[in-house]
Amino acid sequence: MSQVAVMVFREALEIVVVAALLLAATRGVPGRWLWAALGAGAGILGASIIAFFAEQLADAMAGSGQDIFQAFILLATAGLVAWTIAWMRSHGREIATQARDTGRRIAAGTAPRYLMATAIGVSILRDGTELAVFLVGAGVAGQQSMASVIAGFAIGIAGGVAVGILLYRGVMAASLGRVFNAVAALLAFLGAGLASQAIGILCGAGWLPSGLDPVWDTEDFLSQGSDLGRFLHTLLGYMSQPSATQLLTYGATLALVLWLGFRRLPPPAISR
Amino acid sequence: MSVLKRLRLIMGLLLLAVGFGALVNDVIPAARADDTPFEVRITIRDHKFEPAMIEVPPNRALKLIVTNADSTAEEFESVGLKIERVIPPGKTAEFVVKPLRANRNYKFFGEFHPDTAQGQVVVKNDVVAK
Repeated sequence: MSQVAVMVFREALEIVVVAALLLAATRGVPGRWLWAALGAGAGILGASIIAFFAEQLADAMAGSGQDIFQAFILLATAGLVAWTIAWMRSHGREIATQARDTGRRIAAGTAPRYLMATAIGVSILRDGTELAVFLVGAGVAGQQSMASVIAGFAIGIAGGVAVGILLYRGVMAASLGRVFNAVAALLAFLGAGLASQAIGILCGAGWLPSGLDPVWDTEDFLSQGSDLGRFLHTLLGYMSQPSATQLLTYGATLALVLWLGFRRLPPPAISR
Repeated sequence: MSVLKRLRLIMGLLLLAVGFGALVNDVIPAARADDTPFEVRITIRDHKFEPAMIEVPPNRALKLIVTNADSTAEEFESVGLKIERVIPPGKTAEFVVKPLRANRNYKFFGEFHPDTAQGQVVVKNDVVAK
């Protein structure tokens, strides 16, 4: 059971970190909880379907199909994160100032909830597919009883959600005006990590040159496979053996998202 | 120096590192190494790698042929080699790895059974090329 719980917790953590930070970033956007739930539901459904056909899909694409799938999803998630940040930066003020006027608030703030919902959906699609394949293996192969697989799953999910709530609460506890800044900065690192992981997969598959590889090697100091290494990898994009191309991607994404989140805005148009 | 300028400098240096590294890693070894990749076969059995320690020559492309002989799926993952792919039960996956430099270790593991499925690629000068 414990092994199932650990595995579920790890995969859930990656999803939950994205979801918690995006929910914090889109504070004030009406209907965000509903849309987050819809995104999650769609992701779970999609992951189940893909996991069911995983074997055929991998065969059809000569084994490298997974690499394309993973890289695409990671890049899509990074793009959606950046887009949400850019949108909230330019419209966040409207949402806050018009908070009392429900009608105008909805008119001002419908876009980010779709972005956020899609981002949550695609992260679940990626990690959920992996998880489904693992769980089917653990259950069907009769290594463990169905009850212990289900119990492990429940513990893992509960743990992941608990960390997500802590993260969300922690960020939201920052003073009101600073919540967006804190979240935007965190999401910039997260997005940079996602993009550099995607580029790493494409380099590994030989589609992109990796440049100097690795630029540094801290695998023995802090393994990316260890619990702390994984957590830092998920949250900040920590890499123990990054290639120069990955670092370049990381830097460029970080700079771009930080700029999107902190750029100077033109003075707001005078509203009637 | 302003933050933006410093950022530009860092990005410029990284771009140089990519270019230089691509030359050292991909172009120069390719010019002197023979083209056929060095083949390595790995079997996953009872959630362990056989063999768990693989010695390979430097400056030569590798072909890792990983067969999952277990009845459950395994995710073959290596941080250093930038590989992460699920291998269904009974299936074989192939990975072409670009030439590696001598005296380095690259760990790999089974994401689904990390307690037992651990291994490493050791790049050594004195490995006899097949």
